[in-house]
Amino acid sequence: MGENFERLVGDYLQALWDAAMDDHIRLALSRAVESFRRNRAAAFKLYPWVEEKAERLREVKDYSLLHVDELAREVKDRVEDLHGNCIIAETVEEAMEYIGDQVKPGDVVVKAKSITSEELHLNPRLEELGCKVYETDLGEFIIQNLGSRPMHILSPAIHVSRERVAELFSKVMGREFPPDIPTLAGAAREFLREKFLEAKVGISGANAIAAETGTTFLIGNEGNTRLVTGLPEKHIVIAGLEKIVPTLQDGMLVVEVVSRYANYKAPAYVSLISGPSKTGDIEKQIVYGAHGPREYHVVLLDNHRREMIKDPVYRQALRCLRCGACLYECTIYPLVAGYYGYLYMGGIGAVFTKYLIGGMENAAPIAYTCTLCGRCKEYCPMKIDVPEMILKLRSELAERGLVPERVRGNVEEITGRKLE
Amino acid sequence: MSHEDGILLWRGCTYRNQLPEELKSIERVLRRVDVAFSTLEEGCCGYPLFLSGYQREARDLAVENIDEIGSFRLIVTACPACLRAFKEVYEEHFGLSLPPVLHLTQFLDEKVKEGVLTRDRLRPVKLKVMYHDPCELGRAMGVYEEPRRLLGLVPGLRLFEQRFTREASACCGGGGLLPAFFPSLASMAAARKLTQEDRVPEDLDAVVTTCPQCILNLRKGLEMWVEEEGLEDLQVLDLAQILDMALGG
Repeated sequence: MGENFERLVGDYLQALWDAAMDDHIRLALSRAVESFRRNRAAAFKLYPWVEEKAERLREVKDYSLLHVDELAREVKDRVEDLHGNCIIAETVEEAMEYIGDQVKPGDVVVKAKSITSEELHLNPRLEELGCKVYETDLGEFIIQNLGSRPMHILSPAIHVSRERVAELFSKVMGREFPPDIPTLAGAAREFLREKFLEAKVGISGANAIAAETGTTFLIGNEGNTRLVTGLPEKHIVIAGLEKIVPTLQDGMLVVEVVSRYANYKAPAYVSLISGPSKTGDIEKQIVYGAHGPREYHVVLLDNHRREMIKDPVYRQALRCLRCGACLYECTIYPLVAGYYGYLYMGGIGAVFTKYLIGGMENAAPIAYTCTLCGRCKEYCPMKIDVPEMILKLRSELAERGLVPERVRGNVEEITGRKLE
Repeated sequence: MSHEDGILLWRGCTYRNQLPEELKSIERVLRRVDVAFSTLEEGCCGYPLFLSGYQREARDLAVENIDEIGSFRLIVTACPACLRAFKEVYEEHFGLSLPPVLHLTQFLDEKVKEGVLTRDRLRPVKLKVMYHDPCELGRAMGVYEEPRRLLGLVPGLRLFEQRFTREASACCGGGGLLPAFFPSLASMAAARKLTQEDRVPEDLDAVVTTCPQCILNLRKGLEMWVEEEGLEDLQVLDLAQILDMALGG
């Protein structure tokens, strides 16, 4: 184990170093950090009560996590009552089996951004089943075509400068594009338009799910989310159990808080979806599948989340709204983007790596990259104490002999103690 | 041997092994304000063990150290990591009891309040400086005002206020044992902090701070990563060095 682990750490450090030496990444990140801060300041100025709302939401999230089983059952009951389908999937395999049953070989699948779907390795698995999958969020579309992985939880292509996007689009679409952002956004729109129309299945995540009505809340700015959830015959929602809140009002609170902290005054779109499309316009007989999807599926994913909830220190990570504010204020992230992570990034990413994807060995180098500075907590709407979690994780890593050699050796030298 | 009335200056590994000049300033400043203090044949406080995850070993070391330091009336240290080890790790995590522990800046701030360290004792130090809040002292221990009050006392000193201070201040990259795990990335973070987060002006003479890890990492950052930024002459100083200059060197 020791040798393989050190190799894994070595590969991670090499990737980190390559990213740190990449001028494109540095340029894209420094532009993004400043623009994020400007926008967030403007949003906070216009809605100064957002911090107070975040505090209220913190209580809602904590309550919801502690009552996750009954809330998940409530979601399932409500969704099924409204002619949708809902599964509480304990494992990735269970979730994938269910989703696999909803698609056929040859199906075009359009996706809205969902980091949770990455826990399922959804795209490659759908492709194995003979589907053609298109990411429709501009950032995800860039990432998918680069063959890269998301580098920010909200802005996955944050590390790619406009110059590189122009190069990429020229290759993908077979004609030249200038490094002009509006032109590039227009090109993606044109390319994806027909895919939306061809698609049999649309897959999205969820920003929140209100248990009282089984309603999925989806925040969007580009408009792709509306097309993904509105045009195909089937809509599948993939959401971690932590997305469930008790009421519609709580769902709106999530929308408000996460948007502002994610630097938006108001997102262009908020969709509330509670079942398949339906009409009762002929003789009050309800039929399903009018203009929108005929089928609506909600996949609630556990994948060790309930285990996390049982731990009072790690539980707080599941309050995360995925606003991404922590990453912009991080000491390390702006130097190397999402290479400081596995799928989930930054210090908090180490905790998600342990539980949701990757395991302890992959969590280790992330945990030892965090400087424990605690600045993320100051900017976090949910006041997630990342240093507290990282210290706990490091003590578990030490128990298992997963402290990278460089760290162990240095501590041995300082303390004059031999460590295992 | 009883130390019941005594003050212990706990120097800390980093000052003892890597920052001897800064340590001299710390000791000189204490003497100039007429503080009689002792020092010990110190070992490690155990904080690196705690940070890296070796909690049992950290506890063992803490128990050993308590024997040595437990009998003093007061412990003063200039190292925020040692401070936090004593106050948070020993007391809160391990349930060990200690005499009161103060950071050097907290202790000197008391001397100001007692009227021992007064502005008229200080010579002008004609420098433009920026105070960097160490994460371990600021966000972790809540010590923000004492260092600023001490700097405010020094005649001639001009203070540059950076964009992010106190709770929002940007980490230098030297924390969490990152300099052990990935030294180049740690020092790169220091350079980014100074140039992009703090946006230090070219006419700044010195970054002043109160943590030996920050001093080492910020110096390394300047040395390795900021050739072209016009900051070749920027110094990184311990706050004790500024006071030492003001008290006559």
